Amino acid sequence: MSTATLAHDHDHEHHGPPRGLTRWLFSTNHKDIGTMYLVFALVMLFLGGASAMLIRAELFMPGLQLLEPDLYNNLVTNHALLMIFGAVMPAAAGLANWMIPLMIGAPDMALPRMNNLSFWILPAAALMLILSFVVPFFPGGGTQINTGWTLYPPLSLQVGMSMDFLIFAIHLLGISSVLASINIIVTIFNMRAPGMKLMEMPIFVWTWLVTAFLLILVVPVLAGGVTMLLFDRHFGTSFFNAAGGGDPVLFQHLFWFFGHPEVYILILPSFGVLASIIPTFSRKPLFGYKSLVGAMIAIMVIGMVVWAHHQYTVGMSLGAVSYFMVGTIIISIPVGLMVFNYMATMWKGAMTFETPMLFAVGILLMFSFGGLTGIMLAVVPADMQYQDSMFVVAHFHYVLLPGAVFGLFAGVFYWLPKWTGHMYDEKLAKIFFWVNVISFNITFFPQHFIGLAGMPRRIADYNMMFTEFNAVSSIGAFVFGLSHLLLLYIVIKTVRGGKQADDRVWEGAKGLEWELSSPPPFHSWTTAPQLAK
Amino acid sequence: MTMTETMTPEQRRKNVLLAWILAGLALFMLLSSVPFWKGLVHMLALSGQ
Repeated sequence: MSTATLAHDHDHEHHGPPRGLTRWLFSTNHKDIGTMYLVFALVMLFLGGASAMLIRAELFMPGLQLLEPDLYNNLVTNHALLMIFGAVMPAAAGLANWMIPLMIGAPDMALPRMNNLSFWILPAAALMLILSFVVPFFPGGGTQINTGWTLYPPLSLQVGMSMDFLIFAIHLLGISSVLASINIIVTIFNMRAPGMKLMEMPIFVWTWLVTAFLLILVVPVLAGGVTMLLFDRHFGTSFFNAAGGGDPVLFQHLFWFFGHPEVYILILPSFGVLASIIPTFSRKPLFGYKSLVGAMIAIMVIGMVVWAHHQYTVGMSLGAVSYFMVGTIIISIPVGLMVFNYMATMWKGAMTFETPMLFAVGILLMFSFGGLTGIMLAVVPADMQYQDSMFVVAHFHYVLLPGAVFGLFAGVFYWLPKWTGHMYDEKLAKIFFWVNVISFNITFFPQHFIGLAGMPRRIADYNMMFTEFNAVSSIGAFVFGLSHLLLLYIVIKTVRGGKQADDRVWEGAKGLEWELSSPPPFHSWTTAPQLAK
Repeated sequence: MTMTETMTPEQRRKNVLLAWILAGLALFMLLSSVPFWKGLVHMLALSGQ
């Protein structure tokens, strides 16, 4: 990673930010756009969280209490899409917008106007997404989207007009993601400070380079798939309609060719955050830089050719399922390598446990647990038993919450003092960490057992024998959901004031971003930094 | 002064060129997905018989 001896004066800012609404509507400044991404993601996190709490309220007891089965499944669909496309991806894009130019010594993103467009497509897409949930409640609105986020035909061909809103929302979200990815790749390739080689970039930048390529390669395939779905619904084609000679399984392949790499799209930026945090609070250089870069590229390549482990039960040949099983298990090698590199970075380090580091250690433990249940699910005969059970729900929440969401929280706590110029309240942040992590485990750990005992997912009712564990899980979920109000409070409190943060906020922090003032000037790196060799 | 105003024409040309190449890659993935996946699924189905 590059460090800099700087001939960069902090106060050569040419002018301050524009004032009023136009600052945000027409912004081409990477910091403002990064902030908008993060605020948008926070709003979506609360909407997606509200739908999750309704789901858990329904599952608190057996029988139907609050939700009709179709509405329950509509909420399941809505929760997944809001969290994946509305919260996690935009939050990661917010970190990328804020940090990549600061880390590589660039004055801004390479295509600032396109950056503005990438963001402002999102609210329109979110509106479409929310409408897809709301429309069935109006007269003539048709049936609810009860397909889950996978949108499998033939069910998705039979859903009412809300599915069309959802398809357009996915198109818009895809356009936004691809434009943002193009911008990130161009920025990384063309805008690095003179002398900064690719193999000298911070790992966070590398994770985003790999993520952006993944997005460009797989999002258009999803766009193709949902476009075919739209054509089947309205223009008389039969891509997925067996009665017309089509094949519904084709959609599953198209969807999971996007859907599986999407897991890495969500996780890799958070793992990049860990690569910044762990060396800082271990006061040691990152262990195995080159192997981390290699592991990420391996994850990208292998992650794109193992998609069908999500559909073992559709009746593929023995050769095909064997290939997908072996490929899936092989992925655990580069993923495990990343985890071991982070552990080796901590080994014999002078560690301290500020909130970002607490999250980092928690992530390694909980994500590894999710990875182990992933290996169980990768094994074909075992998966035949586990599939479509609550065990799968527990597994992917152990992967995605620590692997993606907690990593983003860690990043926010790590860089919030740099962004705002104020230290956050460490005591409150630690309380948030413990409540968040404990309630997360109370929510999802019991779901492994009820899943193994046979409770199916995506069904609003369940057998009496699952009552106790579901009640525990729901109580955990309510605490988990409400704990995010504390996060909101801490962030607002930090933005509004607090102890002045140093330029180098953390004693062990290294990298170009720490050479700038806290908060950084509105236009930073207008003079390229001179890198120390 | 915005970033777009301070960028040299050569830098801007390089950025836009790379952006178009990447957009072309995305378009290729979109357009090739339909025949490619139809063929692959057909092949997988046949191999299972």
